[in-house]
Amino acid sequence: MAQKTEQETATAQKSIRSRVLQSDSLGFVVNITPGAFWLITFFLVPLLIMAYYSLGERGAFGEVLLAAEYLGLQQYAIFFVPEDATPLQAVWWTVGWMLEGLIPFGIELTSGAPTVYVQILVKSINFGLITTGFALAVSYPTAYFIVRVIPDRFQQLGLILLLLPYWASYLVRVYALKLLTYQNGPIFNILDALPGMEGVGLVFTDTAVMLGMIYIYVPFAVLPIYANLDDVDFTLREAALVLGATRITAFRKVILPLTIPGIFAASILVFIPATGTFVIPEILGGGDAAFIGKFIAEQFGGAGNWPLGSAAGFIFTGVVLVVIGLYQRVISGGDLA
Amino acid sequence: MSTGTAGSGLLSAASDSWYAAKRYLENNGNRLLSLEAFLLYAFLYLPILVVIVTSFNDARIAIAWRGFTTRWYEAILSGQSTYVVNPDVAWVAFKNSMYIGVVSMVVATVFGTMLAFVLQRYDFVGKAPFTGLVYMPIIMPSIIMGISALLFFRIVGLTTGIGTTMIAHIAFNISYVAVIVYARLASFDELLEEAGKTLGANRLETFRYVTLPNIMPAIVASALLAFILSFDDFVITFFVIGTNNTLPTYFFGMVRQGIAPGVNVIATLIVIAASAIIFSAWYIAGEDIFV
Repeated sequence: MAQKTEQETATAQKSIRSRVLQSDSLGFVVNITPGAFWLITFFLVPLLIMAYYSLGERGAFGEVLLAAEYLGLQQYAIFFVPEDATPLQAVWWTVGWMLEGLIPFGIELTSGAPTVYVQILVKSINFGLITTGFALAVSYPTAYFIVRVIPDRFQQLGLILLLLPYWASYLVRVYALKLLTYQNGPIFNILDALPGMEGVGLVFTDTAVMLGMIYIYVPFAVLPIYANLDDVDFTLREAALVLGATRITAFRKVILPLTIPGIFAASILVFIPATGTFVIPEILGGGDAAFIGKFIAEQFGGAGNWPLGSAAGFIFTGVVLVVIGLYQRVISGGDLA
Repeated sequence: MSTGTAGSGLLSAASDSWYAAKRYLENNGNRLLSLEAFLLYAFLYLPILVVIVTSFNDARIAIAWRGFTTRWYEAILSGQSTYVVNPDVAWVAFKNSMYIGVVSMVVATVFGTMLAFVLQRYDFVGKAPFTGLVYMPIIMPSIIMGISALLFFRIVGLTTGIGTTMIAHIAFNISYVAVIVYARLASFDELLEEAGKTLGANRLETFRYVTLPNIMPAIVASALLAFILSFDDFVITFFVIGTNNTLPTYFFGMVRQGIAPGVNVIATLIVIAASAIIFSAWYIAGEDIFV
């Protein structure tokens, strides 16, 4: 009798243990808790706090006023609306100003200009777009070269050599460019000998920033395009060739459409950090080089305007997401050929 | 060919050369690809090469070549300050970077792998937004992560320093680890786990003897990537490191002050260290680091 109860307890214990081990929900809770806690506490909550700060006001001594009576959208208004304009005027001035930049002949559409903040944002996005276009144009053929041209055993080495600058030594690479573009650096030492090029240096100009962005962010585009190309079934290309397509047509109609996801991922990986970069203009640009990332950083440093910096950060993130959304519609809906 | 006006002659010449260019592209695709790739590698590595060569340049300020010397290395490796470079500060910064890198790597690898399991194996309410949350730190501009973390630490009253930097690095590294391990789990044949269970293994045993060995390369690869990302991070660190330094923030401070021979030496050492980490990651984890 007693033995039987012992056995019963043993089975009961065992079943609790096995039930715990078999239970789905326990594993779920254990696995999700630390990561979710970390991401929510140290990533999501800080963003919410930043949103709160962006509604505040800067006090007379650079302190942040966050009491209820100060809260409002004033920082967003400062960002978008020029001082002597109504919101409607601000919209028209901004749109008109951007159109003026697009059409030639210097036609004046509007009497006013958008705020300096909007101008900085638009300029940064322009630089980001140019960098992205450049990165795609240069990385795609290189990824193709790694997948299709070089012998298999050198493929990984080829890729590693492109990823090395992507993953590491970010600052060293920016510095290397500073050294190269310096007035008495190696390149301009050579150029110096040419007539009309005496004393020319690139560093501390927007051109240097552009060059820096291209130099730094081109390798970012390689990995997603490579991963995508590597998965493409190239017998499809053979089929197209057998059916009479030229190599160019086979690429354009078969391979390229299959790599749209890689191109999209690559664009995002380049566009977001390039647009928001703060190190590159800081090191390669002049003291007054105006880029949105540098502007935001300055609000938390010397300029000491945390609310404006927070608001600018959200506006920047929002605009970048809108650009990416539009791009996604174009690239997935449009016929590239 | 064209017997018409000069204009149409020009036009046909243009279209002829267009077709010639197209034909050239048709027939020399691989050669052109190789040339383009070669130019890209050269573009990426020439500036770094110039830094390395310049670090052996026997000149104080000028960047022009004045002869070969190893005296900058001797000075820095023996602990003497040269111009803007103080080797003791650099050494402390390097140790901080290693410390932050290792801790954030370990924590993020464990938590990130667990999250990968959650995303791959379970369906739950709010899975879509949660997946979005896991991916967000990868896409979020790092300057936004940096300043929001700074504001957070300010509000909760944590003094910024090594600890806060670790916290911030773990936050973005969790995402990278989760995404990489998730990719491996998604391609892993779950029938193997079923087989393990059928043969009498419980959940933990199945995990220990079937699942873990299969996803180990991805875990190792993501851990190494996490270390590299932490070691190389500048922007987020810049906002939450307080008065301390990591190697990148220290280097940034030097570069801001200008160009000096010692800076080239430190830059060369950083490149060597980073390359060593990445090549050993490749050696250990193989192609899984390309996920």
